[in-house]
Amino acid sequence: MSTRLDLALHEIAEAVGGASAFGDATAPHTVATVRRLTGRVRRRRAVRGVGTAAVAASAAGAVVIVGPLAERPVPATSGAACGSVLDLPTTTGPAGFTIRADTTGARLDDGGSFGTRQGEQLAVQVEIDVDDATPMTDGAPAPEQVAPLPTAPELLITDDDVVVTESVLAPATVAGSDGGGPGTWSATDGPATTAGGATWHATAGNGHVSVGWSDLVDLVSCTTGEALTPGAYEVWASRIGDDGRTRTVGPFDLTLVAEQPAVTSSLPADFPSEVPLVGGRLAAVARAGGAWTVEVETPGDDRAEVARALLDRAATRQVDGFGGSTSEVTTTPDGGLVVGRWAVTVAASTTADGSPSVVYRLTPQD
Amino acid sequence: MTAWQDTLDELVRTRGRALAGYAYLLTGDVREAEDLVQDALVRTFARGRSARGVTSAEAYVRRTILTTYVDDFRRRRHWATIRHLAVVPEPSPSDGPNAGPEPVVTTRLAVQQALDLLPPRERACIVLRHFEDMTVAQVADTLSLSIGTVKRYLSDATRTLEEHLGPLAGRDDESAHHTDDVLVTPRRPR
Repeated sequence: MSTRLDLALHEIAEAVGGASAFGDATAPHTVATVRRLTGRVRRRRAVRGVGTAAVAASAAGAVVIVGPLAERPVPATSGAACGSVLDLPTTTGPAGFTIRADTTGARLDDGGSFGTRQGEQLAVQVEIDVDDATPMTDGAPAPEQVAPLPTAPELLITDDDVVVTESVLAPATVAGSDGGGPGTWSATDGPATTAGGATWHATAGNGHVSVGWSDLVDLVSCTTGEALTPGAYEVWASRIGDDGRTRTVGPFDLTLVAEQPAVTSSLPADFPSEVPLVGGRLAAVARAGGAWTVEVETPGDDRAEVARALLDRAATRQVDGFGGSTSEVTTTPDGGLVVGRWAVTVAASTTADGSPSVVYRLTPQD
Repeated sequence: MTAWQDTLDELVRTRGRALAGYAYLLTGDVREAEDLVQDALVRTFARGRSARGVTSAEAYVRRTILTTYVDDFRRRRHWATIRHLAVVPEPSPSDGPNAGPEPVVTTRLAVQQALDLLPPRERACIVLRHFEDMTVAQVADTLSLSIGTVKRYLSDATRTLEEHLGPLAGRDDESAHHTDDVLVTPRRPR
């Protein structure tokens, strides 16, 4: 007789939840629980002072391989308080980690920029270099090396040096990188994440391991809960290393643009209403052989991603299958999406006068 | 009260128990589960992620519960030290002279104890796949893992569970080993 794992899990969760004292709406202690949680939230929002030691000039920020997993202290927060002036120590020397904007994939060097964005989220990657794997001799396999994963970095956004957004990035997997050179370690050889932390295998050479964080950060004020207003901001990434010291990269410029007006009123009456277009100014529209080409002047380095997200939502449909209902979209060989009876592609472009735009192509599906 | 306080209050009162049950599937300990839920609530609301109401806040809290659990070194070390001590009782037959008076409870206990044998990431994958009903791609996206890694975790976890529970079945009596063969690109939740 088979065990229905899904049913068993739901029964377990319901049984434990029903018996738990936490969240019992009728119990008098729930009032105290909520009050205690509220106090912790308030304190965490308002008070972030921690003693951070000055960063040594030679500190590289690398995670040191300590052999078997050792007890690690719970890291304190970085010292940046929401709504207060940013006060992080300046990191001298290599910080041991880098930040990149997810859309470009390019690492941001000092003075770099996230550019201009109209989206409500910021895709970010932060990568921390783990100490170089111990090179081995004579081609023999290196022993497994175990190390704890480094603490998750914190992403901060400031407006005139005042912290307006802060979030701890969700942890990601251990990524490998090929250091190049003869006999170097390849990501395909590992590493594999184990219960004890990160493990990897190294061959002779200078291959190293990095740990990557990738997240979508909501561009929402941590004090008001509202979307950040259009304007210029600065982005920082900060983390506390194993030595208890705070390391920071940034600032990186970020410009948020205002929400753009809809273009639907400017479109021809027979334009497919089921295909959503990004807001802005209708620059051009043409129809040929049943297909449509539309250009919308709209700002933002992420304008193509914003346009794609609108199409993605319109293209999503619920499909019943094994395990329940799933959300699916149908793509076309050229990377477009099927929206209704149309295959739609969108790409970033510029208008004839050099203004940023996106160009849509709608092809009818037979 | 501010908006976030209203949301926190309503979330604890209306969804607190469900969150505790969810956290328990990951931790296997009631007290740890309740602590995990409270920590996740504080982290979520301290970062202004409650602006869009209870439903949105709960989604953030569930995600924080999951990531905190997976990222918690102390739990992983505790698992590593007690794994060899875990004893899973043989499930009672459903009828006959050796049948227990409460076969449902016995099965639940067996599943709980078998889950305790799983390392954190495997356990998280099992919970997301079979409790949250996520596709493999959604599990991968939630845990920031590759689809191949998730499939491997699910396969390893299912093998471990089946060693102690016998065959596992999904919905419609299909094997719990089934992984998604999606003919179209699944939507990536944001």
